[in-house]
Amino acid sequence: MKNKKNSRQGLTLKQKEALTGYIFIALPLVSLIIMMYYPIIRSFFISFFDWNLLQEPTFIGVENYKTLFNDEVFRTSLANTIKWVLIYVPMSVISSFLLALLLDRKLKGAGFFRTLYYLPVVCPIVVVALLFVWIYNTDYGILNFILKKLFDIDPVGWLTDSRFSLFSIAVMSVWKWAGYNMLIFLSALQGIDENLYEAAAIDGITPWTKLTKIKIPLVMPSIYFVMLTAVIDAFQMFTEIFIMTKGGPGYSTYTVSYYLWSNAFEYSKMGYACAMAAVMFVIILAVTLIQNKIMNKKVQYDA
Amino acid sequence: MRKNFKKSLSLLMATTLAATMLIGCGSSDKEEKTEKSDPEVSAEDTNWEGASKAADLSGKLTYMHSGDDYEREMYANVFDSYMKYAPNVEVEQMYVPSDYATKLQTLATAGNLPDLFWTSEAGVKAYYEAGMLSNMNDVLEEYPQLTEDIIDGVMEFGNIDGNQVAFPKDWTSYVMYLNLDLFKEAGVEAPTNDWTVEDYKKIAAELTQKSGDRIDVYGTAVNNYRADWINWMGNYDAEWFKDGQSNLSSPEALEGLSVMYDLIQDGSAPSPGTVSATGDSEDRLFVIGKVAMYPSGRWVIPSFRTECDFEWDAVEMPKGTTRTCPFICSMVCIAETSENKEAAANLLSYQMSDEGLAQVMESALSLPVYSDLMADDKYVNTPPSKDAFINSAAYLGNAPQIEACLTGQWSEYNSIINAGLSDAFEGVTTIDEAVKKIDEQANTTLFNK
Repeated sequence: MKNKKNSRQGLTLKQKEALTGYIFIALPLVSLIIMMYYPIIRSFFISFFDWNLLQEPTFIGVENYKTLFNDEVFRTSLANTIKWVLIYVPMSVISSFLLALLLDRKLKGAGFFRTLYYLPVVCPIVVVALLFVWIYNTDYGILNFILKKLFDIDPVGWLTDSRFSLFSIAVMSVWKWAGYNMLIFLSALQGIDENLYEAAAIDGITPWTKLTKIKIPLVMPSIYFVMLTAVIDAFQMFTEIFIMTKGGPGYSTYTVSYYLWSNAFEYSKMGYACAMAAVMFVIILAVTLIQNKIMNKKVQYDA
Repeated sequence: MRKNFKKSLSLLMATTLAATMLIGCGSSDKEEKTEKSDPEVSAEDTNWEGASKAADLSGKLTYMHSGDDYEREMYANVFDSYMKYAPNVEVEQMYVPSDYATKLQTLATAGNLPDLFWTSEAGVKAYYEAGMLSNMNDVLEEYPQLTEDIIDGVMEFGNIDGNQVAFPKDWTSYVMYLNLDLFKEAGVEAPTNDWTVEDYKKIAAELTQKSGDRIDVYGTAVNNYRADWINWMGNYDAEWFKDGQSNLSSPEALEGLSVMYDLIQDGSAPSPGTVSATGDSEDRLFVIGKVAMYPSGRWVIPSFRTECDFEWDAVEMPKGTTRTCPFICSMVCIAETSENKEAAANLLSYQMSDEGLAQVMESALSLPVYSDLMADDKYVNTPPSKDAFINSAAYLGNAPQIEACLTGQWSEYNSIINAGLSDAFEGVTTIDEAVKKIDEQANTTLFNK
C-alpha cells in the first residue's frame, strides 16, 4: 500500500519522498545556479563586448579573442602558467605521497608529526608568503646564508631573478599544501586491508614491490583525485603571485589568473578579462578530460 | 488547539509587522527636520566665501576618499567643521582604506556614486567619458576663491575639453630626503638645492658603505614608480609621450632613465625588486638608516617625523638639463547624479578654503595648491626645510604626463613601463633594450601604431 495515493494530500508516498528530496536540494541548487553557473554564462557573454564597467558595453564579436592570441603578455602568462603546472603538480603529489608513506607506519608520536605537517595548511597564505619572502631574501635570507656557509654559493635572487622566481614560489606552495594532500593519501593508505600485507609477507615480498604492487594501485583513486584538484588549482594560481612578486620581475611570474585580474580591475577591460577566463575554462576542461581518460584506466576502485 | 496556535501566530506576526512599520515611520519623522538649525559659527568670523550660503543649505552629502587612518581622522574634522557652518547639511564620510579604485568603480557601475569622491589624476578621463562627472565651471565662477592664487598647471589634469570636471585638492612635490647623520659619518658635505645629477651620482657613490660583498648602506634608492621615472625623464626635458605615442626611447628620456639604471648598476642603489622581495619598501630603508638619500613625495613626512631617530632634511631633486616636478594628486569630483550639487560645491569650497586646508596641511602629507599658502608656515610646516617644496612649485607639471593621462589607457601603460623597467633594473635587459620594448609593446597594444 506504500505507493497508494494519499487522498488527503493527493500525492503518493514516493512522490512525497521525491518532493522532500527536491526541497532539500533546492537551496544549494539555486545558490549554485545563481553564484556559479549564471556568472560563468554571463562572463562568456561579456567576452564578446568591449566594456570598461563605466560605460555601456559595446558588442565587438570575437575581437577580444583575436587580440588575446596576439597579446605577447597573455602568451607569456600562459607559458608561465603551464610551467607552473608542470613544476607544482608533480612536486606537490610526490612530496605529499612520500610524507604519507612516512607517517603510515607504527611510529611513536605519529599524531604529533601529522599535526606538524598539516600546520602550514591552516596558516593563512599571506603569512606563509611573507615568511618565504624573508627566507628567500637575497641579502638577509636564511636560505642564502645556509648556501653560503655550507657550499660557498653566492647570494641568489630567489624572487628577483627571473630564472628562479617561479620555481621559488612553487616550492613555497608545495610546502604550504603538502599537509592537505598528505592527509588524503594517508587515509587511503590506512584503508588498505592488513590481510593483503600479511599475505604478501608470507610470499616474501620486498618493500619496493609492496609499494608498487599493493600500495600505489590501491591508493590510485586518491592519487587521481589529488592530481585532478592540483592541476585545476595550479591553473588558477593567483594569491601567491599577488603577494610575493606582483608578476615581476618583468613579466616572469605573470600567470593567466594574475593577468586576468590586472585587466579586469586595474585596466578596466572587463570584456577582455572575460575572454581570458573563457580560454582558461576551455584549457582546464580539456586538460581535465585528458587526465580523466588517462587516469581512469589506471584507477581501481575496489581492493 | 492547533487552530488557536495558528491564529495566535498570525496575530503576533501582524502586530510585529505593524509595530515595525510604526517604528519606521517614527524614525523617519524624527530624521525629517522641521525646523532649520542656526549655524554654530557665523559667516562674519571667517574669510571663507561660502559661509553665508552654507547656513541656508540642507540635505545629506556622501564624500568618499582613500588614505590612511590619519587622513580619515583629518577629513572627519574637516566635515565636522563644515557642518558648524552648514548645520542642516549632513556629511557622510565614506572612507576606503584600500583597493579604492575598484570600490569606486563598483559604485559607479551600480549607479551609486557618492556626491563627492576622489579619483587619481589618470582616472578622471574614464569617469568623464561615462558622463558621470559634473561640470564645475559654474562652481568656479560661484566660488572665485577656489582658483585665486592657484599654482599654474594644477587645474589642467581635471580639465577635459574645456570642462573642469575635477578639482586638485592638493599636490605633492618630489624632493630628495637626506639622512644628515650618514653624510657626517662619511665626511660628505650635504647637497644644496642647486646640485646637479652628476653631483648626485658622485655623492651616492661616496655614501655607499660596503663590508666585503655586502652593502650595509646604500647611497640612494630608486623606486620603480611613476613619480620617479616622470621626474628623471622630465629633468632632461624629455617628451616621453608624444603625439599619442610612447616615446621612452627618445635620447632625452633614455638619458633620464639611465640615471636610475646607472645607480643600480654601480651598486649605489638597491634594485627595486630586491627591496620589494623583502616585503619592505625604499622609504623604510631610509627610516632604518640603510639608505642615505631617498627621492619621494611629501607624503612620507609624517612617518619620517615620528620614526627617524637621526637628523634629516630635504633638497630639490638634482638638476639635469632642466627640472620638472611630476603631478601626483587625488582630484575631487562631484557626481553628475548627485541630488545636492549645490551643497557638494559648497563643501568643496570649504575644503579648499584657508580654514579647511589648515586642518589638512597640518599633517604635512601634501601641499596646498595656492601659491600664497605655500609661503605660510601654517600650511607648509617644517621639518624638513620648506625651500625645496616651495621652489618646485615653479616647475610643476609635465606635458607628456597630461597627454598620457588623457589617453584613458594610463593604468595599462604604467604597467608596461613598470614591467619593462623592472627587467632593466633587475639585470634581465639593458635600459636601451627595455625602453625599445616598452615603446613597441605600448604603441602596438595600446596606442595602435
